[in-house]
Amino acid sequence: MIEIFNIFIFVLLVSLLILPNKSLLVNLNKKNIKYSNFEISSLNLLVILNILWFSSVIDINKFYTFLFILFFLTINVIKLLYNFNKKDLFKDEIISYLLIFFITFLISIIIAHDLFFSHDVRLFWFEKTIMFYNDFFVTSDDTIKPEYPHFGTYLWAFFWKFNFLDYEYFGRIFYAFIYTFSIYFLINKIKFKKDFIKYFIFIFIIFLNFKIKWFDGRQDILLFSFNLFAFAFLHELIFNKSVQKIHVIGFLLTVNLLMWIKIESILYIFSYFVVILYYIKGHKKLVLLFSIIFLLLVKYLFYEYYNIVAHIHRDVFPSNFFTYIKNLDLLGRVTQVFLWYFVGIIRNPILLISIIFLFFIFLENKKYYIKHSYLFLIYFIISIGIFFVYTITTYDFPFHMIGSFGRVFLQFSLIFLIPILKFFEYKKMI
Amino acid sequence: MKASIIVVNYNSEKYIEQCLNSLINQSYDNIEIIFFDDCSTDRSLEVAKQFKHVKILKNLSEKRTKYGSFNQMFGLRESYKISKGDIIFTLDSDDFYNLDKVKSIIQIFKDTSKKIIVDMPTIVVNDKKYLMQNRNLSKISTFNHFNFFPQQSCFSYRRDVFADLLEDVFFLKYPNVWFDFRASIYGNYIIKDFSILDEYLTYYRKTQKNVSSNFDKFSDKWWSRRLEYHRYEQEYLKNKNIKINTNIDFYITKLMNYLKNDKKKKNKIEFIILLLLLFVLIFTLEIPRKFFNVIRLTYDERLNISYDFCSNRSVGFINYVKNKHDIKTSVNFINYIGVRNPNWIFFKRHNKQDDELYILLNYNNDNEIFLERIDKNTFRYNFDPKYNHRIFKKIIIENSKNSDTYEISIQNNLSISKNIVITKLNSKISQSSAEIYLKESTNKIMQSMQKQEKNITIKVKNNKNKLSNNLKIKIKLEHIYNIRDYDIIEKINNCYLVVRK
Repeated sequence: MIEIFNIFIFVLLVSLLILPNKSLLVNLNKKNIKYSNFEISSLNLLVILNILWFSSVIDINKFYTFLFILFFLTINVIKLLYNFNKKDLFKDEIISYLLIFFITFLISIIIAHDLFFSHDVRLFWFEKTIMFYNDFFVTSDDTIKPEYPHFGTYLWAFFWKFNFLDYEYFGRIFYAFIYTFSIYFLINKIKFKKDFIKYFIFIFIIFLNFKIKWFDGRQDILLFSFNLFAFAFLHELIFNKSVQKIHVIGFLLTVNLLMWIKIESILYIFSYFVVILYYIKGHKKLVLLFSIIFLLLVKYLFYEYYNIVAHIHRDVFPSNFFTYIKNLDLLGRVTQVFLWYFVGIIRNPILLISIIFLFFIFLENKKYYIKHSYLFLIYFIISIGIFFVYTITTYDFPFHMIGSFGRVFLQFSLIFLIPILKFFEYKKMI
Repeated sequence: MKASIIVVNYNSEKYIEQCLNSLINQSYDNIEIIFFDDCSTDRSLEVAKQFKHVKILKNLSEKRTKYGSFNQMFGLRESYKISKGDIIFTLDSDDFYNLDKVKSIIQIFKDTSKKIIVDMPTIVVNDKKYLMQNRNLSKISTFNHFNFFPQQSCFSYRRDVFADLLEDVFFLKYPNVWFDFRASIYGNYIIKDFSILDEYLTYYRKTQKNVSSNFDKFSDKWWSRRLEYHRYEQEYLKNKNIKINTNIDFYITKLMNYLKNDKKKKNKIEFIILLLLLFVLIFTLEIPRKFFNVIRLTYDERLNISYDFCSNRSVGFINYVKNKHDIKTSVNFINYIGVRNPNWIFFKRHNKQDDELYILLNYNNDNEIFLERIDKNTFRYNFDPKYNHRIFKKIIIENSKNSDTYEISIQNNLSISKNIVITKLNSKISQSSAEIYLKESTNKIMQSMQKQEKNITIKVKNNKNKLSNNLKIKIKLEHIYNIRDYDIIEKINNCYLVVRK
């Protein structure tokens, strides 16, 4: 019972942490634009995560970071109590916040119960987490994959360290919170006629998407969540042609987190880079592109400074690359990747349903997708990346591919959610 | 052939001029225009009277009902009575024709035996025009029971058919079922001749006054009209002794009508649906059981459930060791051999200064264990069921030319290492697929060895799933660590805690 109570309190505190507190938006609101509560919440979450990232990169004592977050939490709670009776206090969205809290709590119970770690987690992610838990820095990383980015494991270790019970799974509960919040944040970009439909779609997506194995410590669920943030901000920047700084900053904060989660994220960042290059115009484009290059540079310098081998997947790309390629049965491999690519789509219910919907929407209105073409470009680049990596992989082929396609598809499975929901919104059906 | 065009009007003063001009200027000469005004309150009549060749009929206010659809049918009937044309065209006064429409339609009536001809409308919204999509091709019959039909201005009939149709469908019930729908049902079921031309000859004006503007798709009104469509169709066909299949569309429509206009009822249903979905989510994820387990069991007990005490997923034994030997946080897994059917797994103390303490798990049986050390952190397993020593032998499978099967003779005292290296001789053979197959075969070999079989046959396939011809198999020798090199500190079932001697 104590554990359940602690889980409850932990999820509650984490939820309170992201309540729409405008204190972080200093100088952002010059034009008096009214931001939605969820946009403020998302920025709060991203800023907190970036502060955690910063402390992980420059090796600040975790306790100081914890004090800062506690300070932030206190401000939020005081503001909540102070404004409790005021009308403008996220009254319309209180059910949404409660729903996120409730679903996170449900997932937390499952996480607390199923403590099994899968292969990758035991082999390196948990090793990294233990390292951070014991207050070591990346320099003392002698796990078998020191080149793997560390931010996800740092998060895990941080919330493992700072909870009431000192159990490792509290770190993973925080993953669950980011997961639920990011899904809701993306759905919230659509204006529904009725809130009921929003709640329904939210629960239905969790129902289709949730598997306990995504929460055993592997980092793909974080990639999935940050990709959702990125899709939501790209929707604002490209589809709605937003000029609000909150979206630019939110997107950059997301990209920064994304590149410190897993090596695959470089593929996503590349696709976002290309999309920004083609779809966004003017000053905003330059700001975004140079910021992404700067963030990549920061990562490169970090790896250089601490002498971490930053070879992108040294297991995938061999050193004698061209001789290796010459000896490969490329045609046979591409055919197999092609086959398993479709099996991967079929195995991922969300992606499968999305593609079926896309097909029917295409039949109904052939010009509908023009406005959403940037998402198709992202999908295309990701697919090309998948084909490239799996065709030349030095890992055990095709086992490596078969085993990892599930989680790779998870990472971007909700890419088409917005165009589909937008279509129904446009048809006045939802 | 003479054409009679019946224009039914109610308060369309603005558009009458364009409508009647489009009729007068038709490229076909033998035309009669009948203008029926349904007690308009605007200047419609005055505008119509300016056109000399137009016969004008007025509805009497006492005959007027409060339903537009009935008044329209009444207007059509009255106009028909005075008409003389062989072909009857119906037109709403806010719509208009293409100047060649009558000529084209009459030509089709002349050339074919069609009874009703329906063309497609170009939709006019303010000054913009776009073509209406002919949805007849893309209809999904299970969920959309009704065939597609365009607006009534696109309809034209042979005289006798029109008379029959008027008599047939003119009953003052179902006010939201307009004449065009009634005509389409008549065409589809009674005369079984209802096809839509793929030619855009009519202009249909979309304004806020249109009847269809009140029926946004999936709105309450839309569902209510749809239910009337169903009821009309059922009653009409029942009178004609025509059977139609029960359809899902009707039940969905009925359900939606049941829910309409009652916010409380709707909210209740929505709430119940959400609750149901949540319950499904909760029970598929077995949350109640897990909830009570979290309350009932300690963290370590749950670890044991998750991993078993002593198996390939075990941490139960680790926790046991942790508690008994007071190694609180330092023992954690260090390495796990990810083979498909592992016999045992290594765990090592996390503390890097002291890496001599191992936990070994062997969950298969009580046989001896061999350790193969590849480098500092990596080990491979080797498992010899019977002997605690092993004989190494290099095996080369020769190409047996005409045979698809390769026979390897393996002595009982030989254990096959996992490190089978396949040398590719022919570029057509996929190394990996052969490798996979051999890995699977390794287990078979092991099993056969346990059964004391002397000869084991394996088949190697190439990447086209055909049996390959050129394949060489080598077995690599690795240095072996024997369990006897270690002191066993703790042993429960098949789990060992050991330290090097």
